[in-house]
Amino acid sequence: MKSFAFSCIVLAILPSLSTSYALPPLKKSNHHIFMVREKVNDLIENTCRNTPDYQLCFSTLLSDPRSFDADTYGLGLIIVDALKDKATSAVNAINRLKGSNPEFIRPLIKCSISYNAILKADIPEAIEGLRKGVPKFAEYGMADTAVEVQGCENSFKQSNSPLTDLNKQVYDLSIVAKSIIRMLL
Amino acid sequence: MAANRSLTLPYDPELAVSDAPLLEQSDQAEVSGSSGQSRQRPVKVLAGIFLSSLFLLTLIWTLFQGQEEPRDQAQMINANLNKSSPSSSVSPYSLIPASRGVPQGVSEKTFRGVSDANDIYPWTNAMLSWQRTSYHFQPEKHWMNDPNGPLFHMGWYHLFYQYNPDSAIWGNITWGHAVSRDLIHWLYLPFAMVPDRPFDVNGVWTGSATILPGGKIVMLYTGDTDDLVQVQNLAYPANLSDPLLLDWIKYPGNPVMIPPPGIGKKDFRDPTTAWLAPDGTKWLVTLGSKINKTGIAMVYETSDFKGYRLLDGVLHAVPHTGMWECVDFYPVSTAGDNGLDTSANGPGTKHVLKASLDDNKHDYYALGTYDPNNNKWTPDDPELDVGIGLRLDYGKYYASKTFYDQKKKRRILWGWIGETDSEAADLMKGWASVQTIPRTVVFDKKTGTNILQWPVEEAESLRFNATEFDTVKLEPGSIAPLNIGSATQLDIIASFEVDREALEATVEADVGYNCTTSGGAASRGKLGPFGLLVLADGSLSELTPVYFYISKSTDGSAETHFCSDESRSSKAPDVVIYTLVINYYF
Repeated sequence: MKSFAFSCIVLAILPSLSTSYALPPLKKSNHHIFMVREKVNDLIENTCRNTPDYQLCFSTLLSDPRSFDADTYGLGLIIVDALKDKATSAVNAINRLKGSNPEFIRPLIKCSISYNAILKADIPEAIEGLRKGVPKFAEYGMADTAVEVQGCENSFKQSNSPLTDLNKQVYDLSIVAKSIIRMLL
Repeated sequence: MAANRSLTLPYDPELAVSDAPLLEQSDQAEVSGSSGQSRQRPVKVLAGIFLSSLFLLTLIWTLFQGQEEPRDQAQMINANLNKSSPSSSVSPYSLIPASRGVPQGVSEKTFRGVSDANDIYPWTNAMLSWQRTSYHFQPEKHWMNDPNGPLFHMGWYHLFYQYNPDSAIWGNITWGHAVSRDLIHWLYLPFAMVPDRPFDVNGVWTGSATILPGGKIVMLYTGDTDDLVQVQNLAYPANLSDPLLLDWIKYPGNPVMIPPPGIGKKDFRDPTTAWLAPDGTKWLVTLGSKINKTGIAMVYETSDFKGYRLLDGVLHAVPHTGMWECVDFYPVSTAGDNGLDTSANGPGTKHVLKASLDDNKHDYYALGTYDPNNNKWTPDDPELDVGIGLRLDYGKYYASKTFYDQKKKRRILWGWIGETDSEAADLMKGWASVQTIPRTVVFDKKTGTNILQWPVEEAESLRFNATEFDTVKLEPGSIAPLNIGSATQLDIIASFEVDREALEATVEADVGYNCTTSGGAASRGKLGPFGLLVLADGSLSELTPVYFYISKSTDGSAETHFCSDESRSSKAPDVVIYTLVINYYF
């Protein structure tokens, strides 16, 4: 007696994109599939639209799952976290560059001082201010970050800074963070 | 750790310093001589303690010579005006304009990007310690911000202050405590409060003292809870007969006020001194908040400072001003010259409502009328309402708070002065911020539209030497050096007499002049600038002009501007400028 076993696999493929949200055109190709709830999207969307760098804001927030449930304070903290990562990368770069070029000796000292201030003062102050709801101290921290970064970058003469990319990334994030913080004042 | 300067420090009115670090003789020798305020030869040295010497000056004219600027200063001015960093490959930081009122040219920290000052500034310990003040209140080290709970009790003035015992940045906030007999010479005491309860473990923040009839003291302060909610707490002295009020008890039933419905958990802080309600038995207290972007002041009623009822409506609200921090609310006498107890009201009084605006970091106030029966304060001039009109101070100044000095019947004003250098410099210095010299506050009877402030008269006790310059006459475009020897601290009284013929003959001069936007002290006009160059070195590579500028319109009316130009105050590229040129209005 033969028994027939039927395997029947039914795949229901659900639409993976939320239809009510339209993705803005992105400069880089983006392979993420955004499964976002409409309500939370509005906050991220509106927040980023009010920053000077929508792309950076949007991509930074979307790549952190905490952003989906965050209020504006939380979104600010995510940007500051991303900035902290970049600043740490900058410090590693500074350390790797030591001894590479005698022209870099003094600028690297300046950059060490600047990034030390960013990591030891500006970022902790920003995190504290955002967590506790005294945003003006977070604003100070991000404003100072921009100043420190410019000081580091400018200390290289003839614009031959080896840190330009990292400095710019830190700078740009500080501007986005600052504009989000200003929404809380 | 905060300093606990022992009480055995001799109280000697001759000592101008009780809270600045003692300069060792060797430190004095290291201080750069290029500073116009060298400490090389102190006028008087007493047992290794450095004294500041104060001089009185009387001047007639000083005019600035625009062409005398070194080239790099002209470049710096261009950099400021263009607000760009020419040599940087990083995009320039754009200024955020003031969101209301007359533009003050206030910016957030900007990097001046002077292309020929790219060198790391070689800060030394001696250079940074030069920045310590001799008689403005500051802790021995680390971070300070808002003044808290000022009061007078049993012969001592008390000042509490937001303090970080661990570093030179804001965080780990405790209540520092200091006492003084004269508001000028201060002694440090142990912390009054630390963040050690669930209702304040994330911050023992700003608060105010209320002295009840009979002398009982209650302190209301904001705590940040373990859940990161802002609440108001009650504390009181453990021993009221202790003149130093060393120990404080936090009411176990705290918090006494929590954010009401409709108010954000992070928008609820800085309770004021309480005042008596019309019924004479209950007390009223106010604190600031915001609803969307409208700044508001809410009022609570209490009979025992433990149970509170939120009154309907708000004391006042002003749209587009954002969060109101450090609200202050007090009466001034329109007829007399004294300050008034916070509970005073009725004919012959007006009420000042003040708020510190989170949005632009300035303190604003307005005069108005308080109707306690309807819980309403109404400004005399709605065009100059709180947050859009007069500021208490046009410099770097925030979180100010007054108290009633019952000993001398004065209303006294404290204010926090934050730093304008970079955080990197603050970390190197190991400290940040000072308090203003306390000021008396009275109603301006002459104009009726503003208050008048003046440093407390006890500040004059700091003077011990005087130099007078009489009838110094200067031609346009000249700079007259005033030889006063070496000094670090000066108290200057200067009066200027404008040549009457010149003033009358000038039909029109610089209509629309504004210190901030008209190019600062480098910009010469028909009737200005004239004033003082302070904090200047011999070659004028660094200088801070403080000056008047008269503008006159064809209808004959003249306007006097009083300006302070910080754009060339320092060559160090990491000294950032919050306000390039401050414009005071007459």
